[in-house]
Amino acid sequence: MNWLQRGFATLTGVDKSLAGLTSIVPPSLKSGAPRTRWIGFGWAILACAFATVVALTLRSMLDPANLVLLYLVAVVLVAVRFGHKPGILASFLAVLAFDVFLVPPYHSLTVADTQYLLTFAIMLMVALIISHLTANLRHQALIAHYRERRASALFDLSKDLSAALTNQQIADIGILHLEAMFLAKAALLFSDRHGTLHLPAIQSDPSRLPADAMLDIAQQAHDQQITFGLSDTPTADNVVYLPLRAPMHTRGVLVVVPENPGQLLLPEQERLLQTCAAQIALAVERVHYVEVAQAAMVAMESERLRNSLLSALSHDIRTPLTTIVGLSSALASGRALTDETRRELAESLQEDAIRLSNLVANLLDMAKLHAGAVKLNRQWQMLEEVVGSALSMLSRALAGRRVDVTLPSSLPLLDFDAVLMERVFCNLLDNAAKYTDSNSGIRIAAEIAGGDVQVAIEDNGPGVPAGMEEAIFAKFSRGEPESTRTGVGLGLSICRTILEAHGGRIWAENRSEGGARFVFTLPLGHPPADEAPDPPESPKVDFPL
Amino acid sequence: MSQLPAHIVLIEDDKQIRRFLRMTLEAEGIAVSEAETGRQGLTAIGTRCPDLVILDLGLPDMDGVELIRQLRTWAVLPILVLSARSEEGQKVDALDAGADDYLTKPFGSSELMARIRVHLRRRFDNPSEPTTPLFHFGAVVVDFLHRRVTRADETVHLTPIEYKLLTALIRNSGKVLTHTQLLREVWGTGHADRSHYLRIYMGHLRQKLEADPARPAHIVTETGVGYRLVS
Repeated sequence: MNWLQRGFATLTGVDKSLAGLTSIVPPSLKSGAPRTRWIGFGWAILACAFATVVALTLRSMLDPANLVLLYLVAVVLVAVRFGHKPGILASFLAVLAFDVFLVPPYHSLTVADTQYLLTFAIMLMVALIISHLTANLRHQALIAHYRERRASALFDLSKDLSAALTNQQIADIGILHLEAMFLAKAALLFSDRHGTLHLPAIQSDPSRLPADAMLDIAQQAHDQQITFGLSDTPTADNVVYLPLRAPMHTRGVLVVVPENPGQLLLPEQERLLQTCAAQIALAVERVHYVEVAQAAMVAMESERLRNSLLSALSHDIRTPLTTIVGLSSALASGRALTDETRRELAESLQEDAIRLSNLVANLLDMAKLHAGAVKLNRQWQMLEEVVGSALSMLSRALAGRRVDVTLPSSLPLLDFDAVLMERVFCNLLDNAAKYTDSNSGIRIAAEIAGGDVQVAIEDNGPGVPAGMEEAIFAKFSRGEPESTRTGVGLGLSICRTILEAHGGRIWAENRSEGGARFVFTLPLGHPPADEAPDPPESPKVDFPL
Repeated sequence: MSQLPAHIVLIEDDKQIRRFLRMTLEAEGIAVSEAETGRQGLTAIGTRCPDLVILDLGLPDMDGVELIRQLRTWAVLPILVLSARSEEGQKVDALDAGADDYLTKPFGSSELMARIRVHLRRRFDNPSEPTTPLFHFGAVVVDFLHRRVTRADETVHLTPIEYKLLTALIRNSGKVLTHTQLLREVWGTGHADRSHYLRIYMGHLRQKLEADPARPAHIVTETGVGYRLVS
C-alpha cells in the first residue's frame, strides 16, 4: 500500500509543502501568498479542462451522470493542493464544463432535459462541500504540523537547557533555539544579586548586543515584571522584552528582535515565546541553586574540617597540657618528694611535651603542604639512608620492637625529597608503634614492581578496621575515633600528600596473617650514571699526622 | 662526667629558652654569658673569648647565617646553631657558613650536653694534631700510618674515594658535614651538584663498616643536611 500512499501524497503535495517549512512561523496560515493563489486558479482551470478532455472521449460510452465523478476528482485534487478558493473556482468551472460539453445540446448553456438542472445543483453542492472539506483538511494538516514543530522545538530547547551548567551556556542555547524558532535576533540579559541587568560578559558577535536604550527598557521590564512588545504592550520598534520569571526571582530579561515585525503578535507565537522564556528562567534558577548547593557543600566540608580540627586540638592538646601543668606544679610546689618521684614526674613531663611537639609538627606539615608552600627538593637518594634516619629518629617510640629491614641491594637511586620521605617513614612507623604491642615486630621491605619501587611497612597489630582502608587517609580521620591513642589523624593524610607530590601512591591493606600493611610506590625514573668519577688528584691522601 | 672549665656565649632572643640553657649548662659547671641580640652576642664573643657559641638562627636584629660569616672572619671557636625543624635549607646555610653543628628545637638537655661535650673536647684536644695515628669507632680501627682499615680485626678493603671520604669524616668526627663540604673535600670544587655520588659512596662505606647498614650507628645521615661520624 506504500506506493499508493506515496502516490497520493505526491499528487496532493501536502507532505512536500510541509517538509519545506523549517521555521515554526506559519507564513501562509492567514492568507497564502498571491503568487501561489494565482497558480492555484490556473491549476483549477487546467484540472477542469483535463477532466473535460477525458470526459469527451468517454461521452459516447457512459452516461453523463457517471462523468460527473471525473469532475469531482479534479475538484478534490485542486482543493487539497491549493486550498479553498481554487477549490471553489474548480467547483463552478466543473459544473459549467459539464453543462457545456456533456449535457445535450452540446456547446451551449441551454439544457434539453430540465432534470439536469437538479444534477447541476447537486453537483455544485457536492463539489463545494468536497472542496471545503479537503481544503480544511489541508489547513488542519498544516496546523498540526506547526503544533508538532513547536512542541519538538520546545522539547529540544528544554532538553538542551537541562544540560546547561552555566548562565553562559543557557544564553548560548537559548539564543540559538530562539533565533531558529522565531526568525529573530535574541539576547539574554541576566540580573545580578541587586536586580541590575548586565550585558553578557562573553559575546562572540558584538552586533548582537542590545543598545543602551534597549537595556533601559529591559531593566524596566525586569523591575515591573511586565512583558513589553507583545500585542497588549507594543513597543515602537517591535522589540519584545520578556522578563525571565522563575518561581523565586526574576532572573533576567529575554530580548527578541523579530526580522518581520508583527509576526510575533500571533497569539500562538506569543504563547510559545512566553513558554520559552519560562523554560530559560527555570534553567537559570536551576543553575543558580546548583551553585548555591555547591557553595554550601564546600562550606560544610570546611566546617567539618574545622570542627574535627578543633575537637582534635581540644582533646590532643589539652590532654598533654593538663598533665604538663599538673606535673610541673607538683615539681614546683617545693613539697618534699623523693628523688624517685621527681624523676618519674620529670619523665612524664618530657613524654607529654614530646607528644605535643609531634602534634604541632604534624599540624605545621599539613598546613604547609596544603598551602602549597612546600617545594619538593628532589634529589637522587638512597632509600636505605632515609629508612635509617627515620628509624633513628623514632628509636624512642620503637623502643623494644624488632624492625626487620629488607631492601634489595639492586635498588637504584630514587628521585625524592629526603626530608619529606623521612616524614612518610616516621609517620608510618609511628603508627605501627602506636597500634601494636611493644614486643611485636615491624617489617620494612621494598621491591621493584613495574616502573615503580614498592615499599611495604607491615605490623602485627589489629590491622585497619574493615572498610576503613581508604577513609583513614582523609584528614583528621582515625581508625578508631574513640581511641585513647594520641594523634589527630593527620599522619596518613600527610603521607598521601607527600607521595602524590612525588607521583607515587599509598594505600593500606590487612595482612592475611593479621596486622596492617601500608604500601607506597615511588616512580623509578632514570637515575644518573651511578659511577662517580675518580677524584682529580692521586689517591694518596694527605691527612695530618 | 668531669666538669668542663668552659665558657659559653649564648645568643638567643627567647628568655625561657635562655633560662633553660643557662640552667642546664651551669649545672654542668659551664660559665654562661647571655646575649639577646646578634650585636650583643658579637660583642660578648669579642670581649669574653668563650670556648663555644650557642646561636639561635632566628634573631631579631640580624640574620644568624650572616653572624656566623662575620664571626668566622676572626674566630675559630665551635658554633652550635639552634634551629626549627623543617628548615633544612637554613641549617645547611649555617653549616656551610662555618657553623659546626646544629640542634633542632625542641631538644633535651642530654642531647644538648652530648653535642657540647663533643665540640669542647674537639677544641681542647686540638683535633688537627691527633696524638695517635689510630682512630676507633665501633669495631672499626683506622690506621692512618699504614692506610689500613680493619673491622673486628679483619682488614676492610676501601677504594681510594671511600678511604678519602672516611678520613674526611674522621677529621671532622662529631661534626656535621654538609653534602657540599664533603663533595669539595673528596672530589674537589666543581662537583658540588653531584650529591648522588656522595650517597652511593656513603652507602658503600656503610656496607663495609656498619654492622647494620640500614641502621647505621656511626656514619649517621642528617637528612636534608649531610653526614656525621659518631664515634
